[in-house]
Amino acid sequence: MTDETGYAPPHWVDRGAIDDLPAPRGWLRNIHALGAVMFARREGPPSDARLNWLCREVERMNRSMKGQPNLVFRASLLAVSVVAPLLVLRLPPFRRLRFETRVRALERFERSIFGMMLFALKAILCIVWFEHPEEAKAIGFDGQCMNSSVVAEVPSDEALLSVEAAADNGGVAPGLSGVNS
Amino acid sequence: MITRSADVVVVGSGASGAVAASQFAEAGQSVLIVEEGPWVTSKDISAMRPSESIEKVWRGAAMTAAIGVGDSPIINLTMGRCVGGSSVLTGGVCFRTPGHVLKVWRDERRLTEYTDEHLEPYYQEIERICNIEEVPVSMRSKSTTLWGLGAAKMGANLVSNKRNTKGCDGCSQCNFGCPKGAKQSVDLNFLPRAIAAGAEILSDCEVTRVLTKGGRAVGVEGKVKGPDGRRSRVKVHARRVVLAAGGAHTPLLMLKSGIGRRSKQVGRNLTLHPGFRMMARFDDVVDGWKGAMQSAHSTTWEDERITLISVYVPPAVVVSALAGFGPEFMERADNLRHFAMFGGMIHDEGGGRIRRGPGREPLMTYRMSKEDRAAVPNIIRRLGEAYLQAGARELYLPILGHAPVSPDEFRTMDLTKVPARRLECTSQHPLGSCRMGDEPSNSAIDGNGKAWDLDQLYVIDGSIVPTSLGVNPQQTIMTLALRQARRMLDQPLPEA
Repeated sequence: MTDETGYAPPHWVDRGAIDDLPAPRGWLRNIHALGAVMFARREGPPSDARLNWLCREVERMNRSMKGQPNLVFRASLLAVSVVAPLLVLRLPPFRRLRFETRVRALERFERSIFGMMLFALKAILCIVWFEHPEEAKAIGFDGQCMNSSVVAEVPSDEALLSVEAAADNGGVAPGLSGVNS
Repeated sequence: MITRSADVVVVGSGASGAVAASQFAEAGQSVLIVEEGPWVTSKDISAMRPSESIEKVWRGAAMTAAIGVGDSPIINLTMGRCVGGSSVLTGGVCFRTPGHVLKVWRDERRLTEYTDEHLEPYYQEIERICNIEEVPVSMRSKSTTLWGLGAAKMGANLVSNKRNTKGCDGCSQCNFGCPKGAKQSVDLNFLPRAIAAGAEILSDCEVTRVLTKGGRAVGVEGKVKGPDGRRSRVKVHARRVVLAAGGAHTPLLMLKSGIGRRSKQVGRNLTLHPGFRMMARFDDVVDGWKGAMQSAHSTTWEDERITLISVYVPPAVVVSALAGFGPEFMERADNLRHFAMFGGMIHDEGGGRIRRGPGREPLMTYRMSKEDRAAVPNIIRRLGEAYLQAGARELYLPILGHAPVSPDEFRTMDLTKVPARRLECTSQHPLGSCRMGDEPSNSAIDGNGKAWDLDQLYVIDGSIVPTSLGVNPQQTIMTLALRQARRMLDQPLPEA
């Protein structure tokens, strides 16, 4: 199903997938929503598995942020969630907006005096997103100069799904005990 | 409470702390280096993904900024927080302190000893130990070469940089830690020397206060994180305290400790070298990450207070600088292989200030002077025009949310009208916030790094640099640290 612009429907964010995250908190939902818009292509949004991977990685990074940096990060995300919709005369939260409205809201936000907040978020999300070898390859980065073990540590979507399945069953997926350890 | 004693406690293990600590230890003094960040080996760093590097060795996970005051941009600030400090994360660029800058130090700050001749032996020693070498033209990325071609048509020069590298094969990942261990950061030279001479490093230890007694610094106290993640209080008694926590955190520590009230200069006069980048899209493949991240610079517009220097940040960061979201953004990202990038920084006058913030981090503000603000459009103009001269199809300006512009659009744009808040501005060089000088009324410390109002307290990091440099400061910081350390060794330690 697509909307009038040819994109997939506005509620791309699969609530069920989000609720399966290890720590389903509001800010992670916002990361998921932001990633779904930011990294969407004409064919549609990234897969939920890939977006969940993004959320997990950002959560890992966030765990190391203490004090002011954490405050800045959360405040930036909150501003996107609350202020960005207002800039296009819509009610928050951001994640409830239709896709094209979300894009427009982010574009307005980026050009506003709050732009630097979004710039920081965008940088973090891009750094994580394009660490995935498939995403890096998709934009032409061969990663040749990276240490090979770095690339090998990024799990495939299939591996992630099997981890999630194994976690649901209270077990450990075979061959993945070292992932993100 | 953990209690330790040493002749000298050095707070910070980066470019300055490591250099000084090695000198003290090799002279037979017992030295304890206290570092807020973790110990990560060169091998660890080379195996980190960029996000892990940001998480583990960048300060504040890249969420650190100076708040622009008045007509000034918000400036994102990158600093290291690990054993080796920011030296682990730099592009490795090394400049000797420019002669015209030293002249200002002598003429205006009355630091009469600071001449090229006086600093020459210190420069040479740093260059030898850190293997500072010229980047060969063959190591220039195509991104840099293209800019150089365009700049040549404008009559501008392009001079090879010097960097502290050994066996670098160029992959533009320097800011996340060298994946090949080629960058000769201080964790590979000065720190091992210090340890070999008996120095100890206490990592994961945040110093919260300088201890004083009878007008003298007698140690530091703070909190150290144990292997179980729990924090314990730690107190280090020392006969001499040397601060090397960097341009943002050294003044913060002094302010927290109530030091600097006499001069009222601690935390003032912060300079940042506000930096801007320009991206250009070419028809041909550029693959700008293939080559040294920072291989060359242009001095042509020095009289406009700007230094233009090659930079190609890691590809994911390049992409994050593109405007837009969704399909349009991703289609721009698909052009990654066709992007070139070059950067520039302002030889700024200062106007920054460090204050105590509500948490552990300093509150940084920056008011750009009118002259510096006027230099911003010039940087953008020079950077962009050079790429257009080299045949670029589109320019991606350092203006937040600005769509790419065609050559004609760029040439007719009034860049002076761009609001400061929309400028994408970064800095890696916080300097001058505890500057040296000849009297307390204009400086926080004297010409040898000694605090004006406390005996046995010395400052040796980038915060002592009296003015901005207009070039990358790593070698200046190391050189000053070496000089100040030797001067300290001439002064006998007080009785414990």
